[in-house]
Amino acid sequence: MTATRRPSILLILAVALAVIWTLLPIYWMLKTAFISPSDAVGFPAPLWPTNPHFAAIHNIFGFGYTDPDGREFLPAGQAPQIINGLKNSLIVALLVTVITLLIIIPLSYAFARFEFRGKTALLMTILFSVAVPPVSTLIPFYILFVQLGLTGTKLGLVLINLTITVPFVTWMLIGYFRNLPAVEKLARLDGFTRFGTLVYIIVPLAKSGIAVAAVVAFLFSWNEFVFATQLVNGTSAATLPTAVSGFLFLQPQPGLLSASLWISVIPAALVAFFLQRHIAEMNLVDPVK
Amino acid sequence: MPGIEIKNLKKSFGEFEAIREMSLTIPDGAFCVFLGPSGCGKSTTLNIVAGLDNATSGTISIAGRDVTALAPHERDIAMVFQSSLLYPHLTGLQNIQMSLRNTDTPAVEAAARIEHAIEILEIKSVLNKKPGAMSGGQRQRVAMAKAIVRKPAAFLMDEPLAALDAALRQSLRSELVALQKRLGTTTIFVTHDQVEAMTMGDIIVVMNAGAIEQVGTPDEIYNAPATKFVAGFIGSPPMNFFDGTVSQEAGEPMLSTEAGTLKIPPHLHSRIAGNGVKHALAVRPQHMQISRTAQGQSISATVFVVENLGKESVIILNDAAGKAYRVLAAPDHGYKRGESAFLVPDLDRALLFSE
Amino acid sequence: MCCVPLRGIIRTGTPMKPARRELSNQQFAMMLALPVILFLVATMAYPMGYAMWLSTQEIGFFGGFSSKYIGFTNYVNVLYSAEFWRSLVITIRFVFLSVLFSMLIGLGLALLMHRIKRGRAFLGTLIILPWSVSLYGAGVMWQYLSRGQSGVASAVINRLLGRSAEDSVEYSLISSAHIVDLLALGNAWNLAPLVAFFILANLSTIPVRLYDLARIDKLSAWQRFTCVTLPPLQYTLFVFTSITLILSMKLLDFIYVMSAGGPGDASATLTYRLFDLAFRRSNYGLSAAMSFYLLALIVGSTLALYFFWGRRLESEE
Repeated sequence: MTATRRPSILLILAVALAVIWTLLPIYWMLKTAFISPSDAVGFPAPLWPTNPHFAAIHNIFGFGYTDPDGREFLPAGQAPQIINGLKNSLIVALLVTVITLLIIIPLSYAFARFEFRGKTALLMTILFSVAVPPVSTLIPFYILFVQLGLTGTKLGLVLINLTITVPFVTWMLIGYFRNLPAVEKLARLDGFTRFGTLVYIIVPLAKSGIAVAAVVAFLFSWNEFVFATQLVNGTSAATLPTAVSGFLFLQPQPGLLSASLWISVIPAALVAFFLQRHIAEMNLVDPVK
Repeated sequence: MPGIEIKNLKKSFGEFEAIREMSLTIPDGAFCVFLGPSGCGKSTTLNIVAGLDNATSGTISIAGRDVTALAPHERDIAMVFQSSLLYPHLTGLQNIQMSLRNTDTPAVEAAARIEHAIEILEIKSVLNKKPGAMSGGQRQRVAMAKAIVRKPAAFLMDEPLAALDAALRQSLRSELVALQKRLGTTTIFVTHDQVEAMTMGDIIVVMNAGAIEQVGTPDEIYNAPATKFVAGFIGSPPMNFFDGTVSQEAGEPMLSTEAGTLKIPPHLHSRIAGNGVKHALAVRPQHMQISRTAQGQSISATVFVVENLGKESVIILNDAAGKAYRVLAAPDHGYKRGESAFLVPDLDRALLFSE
Repeated sequence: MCCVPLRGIIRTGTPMKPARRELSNQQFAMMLALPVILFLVATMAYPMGYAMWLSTQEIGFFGGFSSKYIGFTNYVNVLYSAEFWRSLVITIRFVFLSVLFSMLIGLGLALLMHRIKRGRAFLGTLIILPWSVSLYGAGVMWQYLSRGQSGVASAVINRLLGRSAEDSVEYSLISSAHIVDLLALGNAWNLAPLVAFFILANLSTIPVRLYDLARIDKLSAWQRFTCVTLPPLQYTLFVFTSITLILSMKLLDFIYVMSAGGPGDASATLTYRLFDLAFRRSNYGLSAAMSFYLLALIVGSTLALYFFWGRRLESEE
């Protein structure tokens, strides 16, 4: 058996390759946060932070920093925007996650477990909206939001994100729900109403799939950039991605940019770590059939 | 007062008639087995009795109460599903508790019933396990416990033993019957396994193509099958049929089959539907003899396969038309594959069915 | 909907009423699905309708906002635009490579995770990381990695050759000829983890016995892979080919941040071109018309994939 044999050189090489492939782009950018500002713009770029330097991490949160050599680093001018963006992103992402779940659990349950007239047509509508590129609805949404006074509001951003998370995640969950055992008949005998079955039986039973759906929705709105740039950039509702983009195009300060990316990557990575344990139970089934 | 009463039940899915027309009365406390091949409508009937499925027309009464318009949990029944379905995310105990969660049973009473069920089914060790970690037999016991804590007027069981291995099935069969007798609860048990039906049922309802073929005790079903279907479905090895048309020869009714002619014995004369009509003489394998020489009523055939069962052998022979017959013989019969022989049915013990 | 109760009455002599307080499947499903469908229709139909209207207008800004109906002129102009055709070619190249890289790398990562027994959870945590990085974050990362000044190529090669800071030469991975390939690789970096995890979930459903059978039949490692491992994965592979296809064709943020369509317009995919037309050049009508060509391309290629691959899988089942 291969399992009992010591791992071969080839396998170790493959793992090393996978790890390098995965981590190199992240590492290369994120190391910059710990390199002194002068080294960060130096050429060629250092391979690792030989003298770890913590100015950027302090400055991004609005704190000054004096390094061991006595050099002083002032708080980043964008710090308030970053902190505000972090707050906004969290609020928007959590709201989107909760609302998405409230919407998609009943929806994908209905599609997965019941036959009803018009099902295929409705399903096709949902799948079609997955295919629409955000860039083509950007202007209409912008104009609509101007008319409704939703530009520069978190509510507007939540609505936009929902139009993307709902179809995508519904599509994912339908296959998962379809694979659950037929516990509805048990539940009917045990006196649960249809709705009670969904709330008390199906939701606890399907918690892995729902967790994956939640993570996907969270990550999507946490990372959403295109709509946010157009709809809330420069306003008090600006999210982290748009705040970070301030560093991108206005003032290239690699250390600060890297530090702000740390802020956006860490929560996402934590959430993804959590996802990793549940995703193995997802198995795909054709949602249309 | 009947335990369960089904009146003029019909069920169709579009053009397809799953249940053509069915009426049945099951006496209180009886263990009633619905037996039939898959697709015969037995599970559909059970689901309608449970209220999981709606009938196209007809009424259902349980313990003298018309439950036709009631939801499943209002019908005073408990059900055990195929492969003993349980909630996969709940432990054994939580699964049992679910049965009483939406009833108004007082907590003390509920706890006592659960305690009692755990005791009689001996499932203390699996109470904290989830169904995925239980063996097939343990799941079956938990499903039974879940059913009996409701103290229902009827148990409905849909092939609960189907997924288990043979040895476990045998022991659970007798346990289940003992439990049912002890509780005295009217039970419908659906199966496609005739051994299960014969060993467990007080009454067997044989179903085929959406209708009842026969209702009777295991003895009646085996010895006096009402239709050719029942005769062929019950018994292992299965019944032999000599198919042919009836004609009169010198005042005696004869059956002409493709492989030969047989005289219809006097006790079956009353069952003849008419000359020129297709009939089948049915003879069980143990009422057949095999012989090297032609005898009074015999048909020539060729030995096709010999199956040795240890204490006896089943010899399968083909007649001239290629039709197979089974004969039960002592193990020292000495016949070999390919040998020519004569089939000698004991026609005094034969049955006659017209088509 | 009057037909539901009517049907019950017509069919049955003595109607068996559905049990009280219980909803029918249709009612329950409608109750759950209808609000969502209405929301989706409202939030998708308006923008789509508006975009359709835009695509038939000539929008002017001099002397205030003005619009004039010009029929299908914008659609015709798109077809006469050399930029559109160039972008179409770039898009096809980008999407083809993205899908190819995502699927191959995803499959590779999945097989690797499947092989590893000890430390699989740890490896899995690393492997999923790129997927959790936002597309703009990935854009920044890949830009830093690839370009000459801050890039990994300059850093590694100059150090390996022992050059001092003064004689160091810039090695940039970004070039007009290969920027699209590099973007596709970066996009695959982001998408492959999701592909890998779903394939891994599917791999664990393949019975181990099949591999024993393969050993008895003396299949080579490659035959084992193509005859035992791949066939049960087909459906997952199909679904994720569709998903990566759609996502890559819709992709804007990554390209916007990493290459901004450049150098020149070497990486101006259709999405980038649309964005540029609308937001930099304020040519809303042309952009809207072009967006419908893009939508047609997305829907068309997904359907084609379904007809040539997905449908065959379904009929096999």
